Amino acid sequence: MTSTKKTRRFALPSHLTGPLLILIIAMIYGSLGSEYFLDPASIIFNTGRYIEIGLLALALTFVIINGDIDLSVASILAASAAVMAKLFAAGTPILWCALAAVFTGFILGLINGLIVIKFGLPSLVVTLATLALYRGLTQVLLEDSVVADYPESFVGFDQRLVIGGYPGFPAPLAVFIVASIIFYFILRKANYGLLNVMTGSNASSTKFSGISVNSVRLSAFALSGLVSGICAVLITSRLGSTISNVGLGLELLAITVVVLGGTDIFGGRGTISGTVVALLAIMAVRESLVIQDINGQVQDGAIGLLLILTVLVPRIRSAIVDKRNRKKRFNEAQSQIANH
Amino acid sequence: MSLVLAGLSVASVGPANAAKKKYKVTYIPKNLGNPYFDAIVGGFNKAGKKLNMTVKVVAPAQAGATDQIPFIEAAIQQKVDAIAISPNDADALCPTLKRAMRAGIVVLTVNGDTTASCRQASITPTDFSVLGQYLVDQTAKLIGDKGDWAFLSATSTAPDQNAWLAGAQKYIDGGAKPNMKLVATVYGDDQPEKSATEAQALLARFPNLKAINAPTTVGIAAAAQVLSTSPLKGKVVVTGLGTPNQMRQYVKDGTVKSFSLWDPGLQGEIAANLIVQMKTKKLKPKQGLKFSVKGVGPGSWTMGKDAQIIAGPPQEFDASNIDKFNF
Repeated sequence: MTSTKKTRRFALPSHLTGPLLILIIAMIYGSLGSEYFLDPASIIFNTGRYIEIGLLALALTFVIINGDIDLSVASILAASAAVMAKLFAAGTPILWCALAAVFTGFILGLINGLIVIKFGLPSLVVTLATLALYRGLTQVLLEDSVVADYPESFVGFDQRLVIGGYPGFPAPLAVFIVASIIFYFILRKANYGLLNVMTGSNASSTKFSGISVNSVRLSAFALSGLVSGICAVLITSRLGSTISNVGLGLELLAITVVVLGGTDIFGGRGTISGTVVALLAIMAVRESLVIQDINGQVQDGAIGLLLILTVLVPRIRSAIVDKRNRKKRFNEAQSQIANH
Repeated sequence: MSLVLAGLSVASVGPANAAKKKYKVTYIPKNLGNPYFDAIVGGFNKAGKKLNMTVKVVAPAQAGATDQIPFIEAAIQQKVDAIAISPNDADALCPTLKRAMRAGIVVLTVNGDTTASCRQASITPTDFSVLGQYLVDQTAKLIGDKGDWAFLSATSTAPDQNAWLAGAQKYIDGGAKPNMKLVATVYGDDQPEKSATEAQALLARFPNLKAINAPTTVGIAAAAQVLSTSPLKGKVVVTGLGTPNQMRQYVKDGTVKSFSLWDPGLQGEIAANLIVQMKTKKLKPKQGLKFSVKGVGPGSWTMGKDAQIIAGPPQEFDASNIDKFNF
C-alpha cells in the first residue's frame, strides 16, 4: 500500500474538519457530563427544534456563496407566519394558509433580490432594512394578538414519527435530510449551483462569459425567501401558535451554521455538506450544554467562541506555513548567494 | 365562595412526611441575573431544603417566545419530577409542556401563566383584581384618609396599571374614602427622567397635594428621588409599588414611609410544596381544591379558576422589615 493511497483513504474534506471535530468533542463532553445525554430517542427527537435553522442555513449557503447575505430570513418567516395566521383566523382552510405563507416568503425574498440587483445596492444594507421592514409588517398584521387554536391535525408535526418504534424517526429530521439532498444536487449537479459558485468567486468574469450573474443572485434570494416561508409553516405547526416575535434572531443562528460549515462569508466557496455537518455540530454543542443545566448566555458564548476558532485556526495555520516557506526560501537564497 | 368551599377536598402535608424520596425539580425563570426571579429561586431553595428536593435553575439568554423550549426538553430528558416555569409566552411553549406532562412530569407556572391546558396549576404573586382598591387604601393609611392625591403611572397604555387604576376609580366611585380627592393621573412612561419630571409637575401644580401613588417600580423610585431633595420631603407622601432594593435608600433617609409589592419568594415556596403534595398525596389541582403548608405565607390556599393559586396579599415594606428582602 502506497502512502498516497493511505492518505486518500483517510482524507477528509478540509472544510468538514472543524465542525466534525466540534461535533465529536461535544458528543464526548455531553456523555461525560450527563448520564442522560446519550439517549438515542432524545437526541433524534431534539433535532426537531433545529429544523428551521437548518433549512434557513441550507438556503443561505447559496446566497452567501454568491457573495451576498440575507439578514431578513427570520423576518420573512415572521411575515409569512403572520399572513398564514391572519388567513387562518379569517376561516381559510389550513392548507391554503400554508401555501399562502410559502408564497409570501417567495415574494418577499424576490423583493430583496430585485432591490439588490435593480439598484445595485449591497445586500447587507438591503436585507438589514427588510429585516426591520418585514418584522414591522408582521407587527402591523398581528399587533399584540396571538393566533392559536390551529387544528390538531396541523399542530405538532415535530412530535410525529415517520418511522415509529424505538428510537423512532421524527418528521423534521426526515424533512431536513430530504432538503439537504435536494440542495446538495442543486449545488453540485445542476447548472444553477455551478453558476452560484462561479458568480461568487469571480463575478465579473462570469458576467463577461455570457452568464447572467444577476439572475443567479436573484434566484438565490427568491429561494431563501421561499424556504423562509416553508419554515413559517413548520414553526407554526411546531409551536401551535403565532405571535409577532416568532423566529426572532434565527437569521444569526442560521448564518453561524453556514459560516461554521466553511462557506466563505465573502462568497465563492461553500458546500452543503459543510452546512449540514455544522448544523449537527451546533446541535451537539447546545444539547451537551443544556443537558448539563448550563445557561443560555454561556451556550451563546460557547458557540461564538467555536465560530471564531473555526474561522481563525485555518488562517493561523496557513500563516505559519507561509512564514515557514518564506524562511525556507530565504535560507535557500542565502545559501545560493554564499555558494557564488 | 362558601358553596365552593363545601365541596373541596382538603390535603395537608408536613415537611417531615415528604422527606423520603429525593425530588428533582427544574425551575425555568424568564431570564437570569434578575433579582426578582432570584427571589423566587430563593423561595424554591428555602422550601427545597426541608422537602429533600434539588432545584435546578436554568434560563435562556433571551426572553423570546421559544427560547425556553430547549430547557424544558432537557428537563424531560433528565426525567425530573417537576418543571416550574415563568413562561415567556402563553402559547408557544404549550406543545413542549404537554409533552412533559405526558411523560409524567408535574408542570406548574410561576409568576406568569400559559394557556390553562398546558400546565397543572399556576401560582400568581398576588390578587391583581383587588390591587386597585389596595392602592387607595395604602395611600389612605398614610395620609389619614383625607387630602389631595395623584397617581403617577407607567405608560397610558400599560394594561396592568390601567386595570389597577380603573379598579381604584371604581372603588372611589363606590364611595370609598370620601375625604380624599384624586386630583390627577399622570404618566411617566416608565422612564426615570420623564417620571421625575411628571412628579415635579404634580408638586408644582397641586400645592395641597398630600400623596403621590406610583404603582410602577420606575415611577415610585423617580418620585422618591424628586422628593428626597425637595423642601416638601416629609410633607408629601410617596407610596405605591416598588422593589426593596430600589427604595431602600429612600426609606432609610425618611423620604418614604412605606410602600408595597409582593414577596416573589413566596411563589417559589408554594410551588415546591405543591409539587411534593402532588407527588405524595396524588393531589390533582382543580378549581376549589384546598391545600396548606404550615409556616408559609397565609398557610393555606384555595385554587381559583383553572387551578390558579394566589400566593398571598401584597407585602408592605417599611424601615422595620425592608432589610429582610433583597430584590
